Amino acid sequence: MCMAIPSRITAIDGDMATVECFGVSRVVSLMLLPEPAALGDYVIIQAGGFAMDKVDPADAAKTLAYMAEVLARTEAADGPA
Amino acid sequence: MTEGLPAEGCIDIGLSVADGRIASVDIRNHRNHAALVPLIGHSAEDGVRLLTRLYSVCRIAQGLAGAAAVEQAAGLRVGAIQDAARSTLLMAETVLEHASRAALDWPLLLGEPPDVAAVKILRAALADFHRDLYPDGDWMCPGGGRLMVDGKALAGRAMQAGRCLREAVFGGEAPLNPEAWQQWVAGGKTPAARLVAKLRADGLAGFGASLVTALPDLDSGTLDARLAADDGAFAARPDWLGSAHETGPLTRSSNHPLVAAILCEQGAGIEARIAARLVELDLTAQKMQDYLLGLCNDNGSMLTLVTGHGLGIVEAARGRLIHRVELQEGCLARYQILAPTEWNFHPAGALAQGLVGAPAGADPAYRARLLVAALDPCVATRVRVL
Repeated sequence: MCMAIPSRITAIDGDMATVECFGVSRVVSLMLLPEPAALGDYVIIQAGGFAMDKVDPADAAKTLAYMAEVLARTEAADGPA
Repeated sequence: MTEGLPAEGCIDIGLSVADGRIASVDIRNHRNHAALVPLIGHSAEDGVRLLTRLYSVCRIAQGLAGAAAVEQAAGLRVGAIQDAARSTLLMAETVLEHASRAALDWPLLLGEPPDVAAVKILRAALADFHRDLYPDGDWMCPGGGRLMVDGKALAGRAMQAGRCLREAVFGGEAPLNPEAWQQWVAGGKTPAARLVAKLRADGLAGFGASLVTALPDLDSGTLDARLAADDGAFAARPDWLGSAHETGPLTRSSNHPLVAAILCEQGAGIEARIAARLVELDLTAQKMQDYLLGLCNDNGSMLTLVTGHGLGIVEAARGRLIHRVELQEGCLARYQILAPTEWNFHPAGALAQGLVGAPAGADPAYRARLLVAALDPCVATRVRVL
């Protein structure tokens, strides 16, 4: 429930940004962020397509490492396609 | 991971239409149920802290359910002081979540711009409410964190949030009885009121009514045994005594006079769900202010390295959230979460039963999205007509 993986900003166009997380790109709104965001920043996306918070890069790295382990386990359990 | 899906997972809802009605609903939940496996081996305290980073949208509910589960496993009881502070944190999160639906999601359903300014104010007041209660950031610590109450700052946050709710969500005082509700809808001052007015104009106020019953109090022994024996199927598609159930604002507020009156007239459709969320929003904001008056400082209790298992149950904004842990000498040996979205978006649950047989109209996907928004899932959803 309510999982939110940090996504990295790869492009900014006004109040909108393209973000990437584990190979999936999405376009999200930056309007709710409490501070300006820049390329390479990590943000948390809420259902509805809004970036809600910036995430400290060190914290983002820890969460992404955790999630990489989850996805590796999932792929190993599913076996080759 | 399924290609093209966000790592957080999502719910795919497929509709088929026949003879002007929604004939079937196919709900596929792509949530990653392996997400908790890497917690194994972490200390209980680190594991719960990690959870709040991973499940950061409802992190207060997740952190407190985790702490409660660890405490039960350890046979540790936190005192009334910590309980009151935790309840206050949970209320702040519920207010923020409900108000965000009203200010962000509901305008979009009307074709109006979201009220970004209001949500920014609410987030500034409520998203880090814990800082003025637990300055060390250890609010989720099993046994209780170091509680150092900044009453003045908390009162300021609550006042700011209350003012914003009155302006952006209610357009004045919350309408808590049927007569006030009718006037509020007719006045149309806020997106919430205009959404109900539009639902009525489109004949959709009672759309999606289902007969799915409220999730009852769950016998903890039975619940623990079912989770202990679960291979993942129960947590993904939960039932209780063979039946699907609903959990959330509607089931919690169904006895409130306004909600009960709407339920009596229209059943458990979209208007009843909107009313229940708004009633809960207002009452929770008031209760939070009351709780602030009674908070005091505390140092929490130390957790010892124990072996055992326990359940943590909290009423999160979206419904009942259940965590179960197994501890081995203070480290996590197993972690399970049973979340409200899995009850409400069960293949035989409130969404499915509310949609099957309902009039499809010209845009059945929009109608389904209205009901999805009213049920408020915690993950992204995609609706398509098959």
